[in-house]
Amino acid sequence: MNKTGKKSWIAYLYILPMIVLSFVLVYYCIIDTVVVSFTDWDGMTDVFHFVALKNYIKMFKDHVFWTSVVNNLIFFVGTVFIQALLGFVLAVLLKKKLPGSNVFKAIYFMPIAMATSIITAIFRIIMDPTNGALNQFLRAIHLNGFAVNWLGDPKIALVSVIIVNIFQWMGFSMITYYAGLMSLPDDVYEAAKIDGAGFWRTTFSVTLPMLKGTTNVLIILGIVGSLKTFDIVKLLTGGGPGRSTTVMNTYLYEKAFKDFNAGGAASIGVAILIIAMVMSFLQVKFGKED
Amino acid sequence: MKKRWKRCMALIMAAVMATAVVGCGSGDNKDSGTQGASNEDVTLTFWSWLPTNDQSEEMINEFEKENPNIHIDYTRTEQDDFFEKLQVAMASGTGPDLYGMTTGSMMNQYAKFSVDMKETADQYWSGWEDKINSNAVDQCTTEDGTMAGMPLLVAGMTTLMYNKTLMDECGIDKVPTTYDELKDAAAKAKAKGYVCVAAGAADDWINSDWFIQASNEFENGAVYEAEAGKRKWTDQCFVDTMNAWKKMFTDGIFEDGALGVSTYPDARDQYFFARKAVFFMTGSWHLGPTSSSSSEIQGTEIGNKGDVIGMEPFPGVSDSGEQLGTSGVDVMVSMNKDCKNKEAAMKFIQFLADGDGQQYWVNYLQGAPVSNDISYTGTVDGELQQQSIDDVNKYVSNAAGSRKLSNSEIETALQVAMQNVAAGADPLKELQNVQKTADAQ
Repeated sequence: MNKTGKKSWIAYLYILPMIVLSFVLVYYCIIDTVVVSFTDWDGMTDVFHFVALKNYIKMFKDHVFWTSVVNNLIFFVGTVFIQALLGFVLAVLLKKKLPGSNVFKAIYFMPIAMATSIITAIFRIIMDPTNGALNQFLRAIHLNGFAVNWLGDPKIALVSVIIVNIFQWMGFSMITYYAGLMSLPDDVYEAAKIDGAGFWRTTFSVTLPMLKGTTNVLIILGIVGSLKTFDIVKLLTGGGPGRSTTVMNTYLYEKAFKDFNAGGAASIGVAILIIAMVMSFLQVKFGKED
Repeated sequence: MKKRWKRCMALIMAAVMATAVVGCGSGDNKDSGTQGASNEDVTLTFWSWLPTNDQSEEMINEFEKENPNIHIDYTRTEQDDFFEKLQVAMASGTGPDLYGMTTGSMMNQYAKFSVDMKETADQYWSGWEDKINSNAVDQCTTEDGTMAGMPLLVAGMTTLMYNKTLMDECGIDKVPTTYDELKDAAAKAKAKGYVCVAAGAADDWINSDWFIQASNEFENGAVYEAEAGKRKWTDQCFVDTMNAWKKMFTDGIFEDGALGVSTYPDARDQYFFARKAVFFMTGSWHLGPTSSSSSEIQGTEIGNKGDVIGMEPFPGVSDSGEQLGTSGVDVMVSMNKDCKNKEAAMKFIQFLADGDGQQYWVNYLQGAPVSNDISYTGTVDGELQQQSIDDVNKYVSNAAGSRKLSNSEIETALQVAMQNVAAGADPLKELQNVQKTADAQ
């Protein structure tokens, strides 16, 4: 074996642990899920039969599945853009080094470090229509019309879930934008100042375009994040009232654990996987451009 | 030297990785619950949602005192989470020796993992059939005749826990028995700033339990015929039941936003125990708080104020005003086919179903006994508690039928329909969706 051959052999050995881990923990599970999606396995016993595309045909005809897809889409639009906007505004304000900005930075970032189960338990109490702090506050300031049934009204429940999600993840957008802002060169701002640009002009014509890469990454991460949404919905509303907050993952879970239909659940899982792969492709594409 | 070191590190990392992977797969085959002959020390694993944490320590200590060579390793999980945990454990072959179970669809699903309780009981517990309520045993038997578990407690739906102190304050003279009386009580409670009935309509299970119970008041037995495909879910009695359900929301019987409130802990703790609701919609298993010494209400607002608590059947919602409940085995215990110490396991089952464990549960007012030889022997905390126990037991013993459906997909469709109706949807249209689910099977 020549010297180059030896070197490449050692290089493969270095990545071997990761390859083995990835295969065992990720790729094997994906392959197994795809196989299960063509069966009528109940998720418990060793007995199953191959049913070809039956699970997929049933899934495409299932109006609950499509409701969950639409809910995922609304969730994505509602969270990603508002989250990015609020994160950007906060990052710009924090960069101004106003008094107490470090304290606020920690406060805004804190929900990310909190478990979703804790956040949802607190919000269930806060959003209680009768005894909850939110409605009591709204009534106290005479905004009775806004004191709604946050988690119990099918027209509002998904919005409430989006609000809680934004509360939890806004700090991530803020810190990402803040890191991006800190890396921008000062001379660009000095040049803008010499040219007479004010705060708004600088923000829209200098800061935002220079943070395009950060925004793209946040949007793509948001898409993938919304596809993975499960815990916050399960713990806040359980997918109800009715089907108003059912997303793909909660529906998959219901199929697997309530209906004992692991084959049907796997077909939903494969659908999520395909959407996630398309999104990952876009992420790579955007990453290359920026 | 540097290259050799790098190569060594790479080899060590690969070896560590391989060991870790092999280690993951090898598993720990030690299963304490499956070791030992009858005279040796045995540990049995037991998973369930009942007994509660409050109850389990005392019950299990008592059993272990009676059977010093048998140790119970008990894991309690809330009911919904319990079934998810159990499903994963059973699928991977790591399930417990004994596990709590409900009748209906869950029992049918898990029967294939459980021993035939009749065969096992015949072997290790002579005369058990004379001691255990035969109706309860029937409910624990699948269609193919397998007894999937031993019944432990019987409970009924729907009951109304009431705060007598608040009723007096609101001028509500008696516990409502008809819908009109309930509506009148709601107006009086609202006038005093209280919620009438705290209900956790965010919970699927209590909604479908209510529907099954209330539909029997409109037409006794129709709901079971519909489940069996012998009649349509769009029949008038079901439309009437859905309309009655809708009125609970539109007439202000339930709290505003009940669809976003769970039964436990929200409706119970934040409304009824917090002294913000006069009534609480629940089942017969919740008779405990009718005693002022109940540990459940200690430290709560109603406990601190010394309010008088009672329980009565839920008011009749049909025009006839008849109050007709449902009942069923609330919890049964199944034995894993892999359990190797069945004799010890059966001793614990006997303790729970016919021994001191059963007596403890019954005295705790957790449910009605399945043992023919056991009845409530606890102290009765005044006339009101006695009346509550008598009225609720009578309601449960005269029940129209089972509390649960055995078809999980129809039950889910019904639950979704009920939440949609509560949110304003048309009852008939929603019932048509339930019928579609039934037709698709």
